[in-house]
Amino acid sequence: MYLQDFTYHKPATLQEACKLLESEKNAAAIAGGTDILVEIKKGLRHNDNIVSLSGIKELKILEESGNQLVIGAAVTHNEIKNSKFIKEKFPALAEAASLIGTDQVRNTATVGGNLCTGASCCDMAPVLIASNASAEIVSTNGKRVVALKDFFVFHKETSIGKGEIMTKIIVPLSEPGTGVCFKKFGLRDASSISVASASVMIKTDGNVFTDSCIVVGAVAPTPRISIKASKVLTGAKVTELLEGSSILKEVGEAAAADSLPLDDIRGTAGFRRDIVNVLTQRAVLTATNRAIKLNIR
Amino acid sequence: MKQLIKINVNGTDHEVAVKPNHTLLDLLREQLNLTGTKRGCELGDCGACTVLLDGKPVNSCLLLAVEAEGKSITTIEGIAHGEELHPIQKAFVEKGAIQCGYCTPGMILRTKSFLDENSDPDLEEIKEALSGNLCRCTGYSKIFEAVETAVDYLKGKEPKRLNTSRRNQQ
Repeated sequence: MYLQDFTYHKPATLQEACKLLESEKNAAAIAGGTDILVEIKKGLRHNDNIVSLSGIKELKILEESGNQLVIGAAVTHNEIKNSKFIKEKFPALAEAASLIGTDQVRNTATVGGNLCTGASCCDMAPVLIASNASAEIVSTNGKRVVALKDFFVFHKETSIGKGEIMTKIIVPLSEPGTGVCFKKFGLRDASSISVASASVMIKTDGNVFTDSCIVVGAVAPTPRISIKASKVLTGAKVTELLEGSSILKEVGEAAAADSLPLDDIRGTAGFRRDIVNVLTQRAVLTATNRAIKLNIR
Repeated sequence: MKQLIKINVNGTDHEVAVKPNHTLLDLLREQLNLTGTKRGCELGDCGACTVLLDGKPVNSCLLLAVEAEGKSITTIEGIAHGEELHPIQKAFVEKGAIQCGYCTPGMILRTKSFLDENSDPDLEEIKEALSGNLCRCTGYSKIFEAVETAVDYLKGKEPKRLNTSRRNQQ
């Protein structure tokens, strides 16, 4: 398959990269390249200038800083999947990263790329949004921080503007009693685009869900917080949920009701609603089990 | 405009002039004549173009050649020792895990990188590890058997003797 000609730039600093993206004709940034090169090969896009971010070291940080996890936008999915401290402090993110593409893709594709491509089926977004993550975006005008729940505008449209680069994702560390989970359904067990996905964050205090955030993915133009599902879950009793009351079913139904799915080649809208309903229920159970385990001293 | 890049492939340093829109796959096949790495889907789904970049498996169809500057690449041509096949290659041949052979270089390289990290996998781990390499011929069972056999060979079990040398003229 053929890649059209373009001019390649490899800036050494962020500022240089931002300047190039602003000033060069029809320029795009490339990190891992697993989305952008596919689009160029398929003829879905053409860029006269490609600005590589692979020389910019600050995009590769992965560290704990105070009460937060800081993940550089150019960190690959396998680096997240295999990171000891992400597996310990934020296992749901390692889980989400491990479900993307194939091992080969995960060795080059980056979390920033997954978010900035902004597909409706973006797999890193639901768990990051459920965990109240934000992203730092840099340009020649300075920096801004945007909550990821406000970052997505439409399928493949985000709030990144011309000349802007996402540098890092900042996630507050979970408090004790918090459980987070990500579940995905695709038409294959591996290497598949999500037909529906769900991420659940719950906080427990004793026997009560004191807070929850349910995010559904691939069932709307952007990853979507289900306020209805949260209303059902927050305030409910943990034991009631685990003992098979109707709460779990209601949470699933609420998440499905809050979705805005389409019919496409991977499934009909009705199918997606059914799947996201079940995925949400399963994610709630897993997140709850994770939170309870954490509470046991 | 072409750019001169330095790249190490199978232990040998090369200096190659590449255009920005050349992929690593183009470089390996067309400029270095290493045609063991195959063009499959060219979209990062099938894994036929898998090579090891600094030991990690990547789809060479989705890497720009210029991005491989300064890196160390291993292709299928690089894992045998002269005429002596790598134990993984021996296992694949022995078990009949090769039919048309098109997926094989990618399968073997992925297997090598996987067994380098996990020397005692179970079947489920093998299946998951190879999930990025598609095969249209074998139905995978012989490939999984070959990987399990390769595990034993890498642990020191003596591989079966195979006649892999060229036939002598009589």
